[in-house]
Amino acid sequence: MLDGERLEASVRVRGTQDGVRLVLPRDVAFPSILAHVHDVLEARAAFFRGAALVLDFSEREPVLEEIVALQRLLDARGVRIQAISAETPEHRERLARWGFRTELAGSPRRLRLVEPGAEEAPDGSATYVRRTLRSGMSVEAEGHLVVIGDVNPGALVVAGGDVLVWGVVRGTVHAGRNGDTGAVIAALRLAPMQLRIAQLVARAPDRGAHLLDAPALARVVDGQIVIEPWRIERR
Amino acid sequence: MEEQQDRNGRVITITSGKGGVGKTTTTANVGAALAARGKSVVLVDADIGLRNLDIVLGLENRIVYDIVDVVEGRCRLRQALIRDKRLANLALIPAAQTRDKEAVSPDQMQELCRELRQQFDFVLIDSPAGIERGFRNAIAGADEVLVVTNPEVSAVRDADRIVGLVEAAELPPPRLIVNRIDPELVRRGDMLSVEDVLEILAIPLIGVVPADESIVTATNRGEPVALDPSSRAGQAFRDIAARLLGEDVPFQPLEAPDGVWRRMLRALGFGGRT
Repeated sequence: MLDGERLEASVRVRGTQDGVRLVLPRDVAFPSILAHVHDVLEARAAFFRGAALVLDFSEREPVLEEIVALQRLLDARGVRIQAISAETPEHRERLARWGFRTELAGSPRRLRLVEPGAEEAPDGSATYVRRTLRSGMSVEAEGHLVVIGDVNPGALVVAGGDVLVWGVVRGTVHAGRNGDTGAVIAALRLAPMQLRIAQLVARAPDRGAHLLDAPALARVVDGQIVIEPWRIERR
Repeated sequence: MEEQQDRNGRVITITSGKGGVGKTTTTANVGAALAARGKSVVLVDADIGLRNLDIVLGLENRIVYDIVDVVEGRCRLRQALIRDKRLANLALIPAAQTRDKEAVSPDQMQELCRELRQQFDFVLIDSPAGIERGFRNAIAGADEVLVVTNPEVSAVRDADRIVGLVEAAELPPPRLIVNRIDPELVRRGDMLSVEDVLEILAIPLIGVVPADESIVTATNRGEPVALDPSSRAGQAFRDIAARLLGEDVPFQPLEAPDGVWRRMLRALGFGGRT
């Protein structure tokens, strides 16, 4: 029987770029792993509810019965298994043969690390606006901002974090207003009057303002705002 | 005592944000076209202090009472209604020239619209430019809004602002009239096209009115071009009226009128694309 501390170390919950991973130890008997996962889920019920995670067998040999038992436990608490990963190619192959996804396809770029126990993401939640912002309208958000619609000329959008526009940006957008130069502005089309990230300002060219007819992302590179087309095949 | 039953007419406000894009001309012509189709129509000039609609209709000399007189109770509604000199079922309530927008409140406008819609099939309100009191008065009693714009960046910007304000007032999405489009300039890429305008405003289109010199002369003479069967702009206004009546009218092809000058140029081999 393992003592408390060793038990604590048996199953690790890691926030990674790909989201939450449940990493299983190699040399611990399965019943105690199951018990520990149960405890972790109980202790952080709010955090895990509705979550999707990667079950990481790491160096542990994957056993179908163990996966099924874990899946049943996680299911009961509304947690979805996105993928099951393993360290060695043989183990991954075995998982794939059983029909599991072994890795997430294309990890998202700017997913923030979320440690279990943290109240919320570092920048707060995202504000969601589902309308076209017309001339004279403005929206401000403390955290990230998502706009489903266009940002027309004469409209102003300001966010403490990132700004995502599912539409055309023709007006002015300010991301990272509190000085976060890591903030980005993404849109289906970027034809802005002006873009601001942190304290930097980029304005449309005075002549021949051309419209990049593709989804694009604006970010800060070497102290300058750069706009790059978003190429799906690259990611 | 001609109207007994409630006609339950439609109150339609014509507005634009920017001044000088052709609101008043549009109001007069769409009104005249509707009246020519046999509908009873009243035009209300809500541009208090800058009275124009009466001039465009050539009715200035008939004004005795105006909209402020009506809302302040100095006359009966019937006394302020000026009958058009051409169309018996077209009437006008003129604006006051000596007062300003504050002379009427949105509540009073609503009440006026309620009375007018009982007597007429269409109540067309000519809004003043701007987004202040005058505009709020003009949309206070409206069921529908038509936004007039020109194919110019500044006019489209203001129209966009107006569309947002109309939506905020919980009216149905306004319909768009693009006025004074010059097909030749569009063809050369020197003017926004109707598609460019629609891409930004993203509201239904109800009319495209070509730039037409005859509008200037007709307006100065107080004759609505909508009553001139040979005018292209007049046809566009008649089409708008028909669309308001629910008819599915195709948009006129936007070709530059083949004037003598262009025909000559083409004969000399300068015509370009036709």
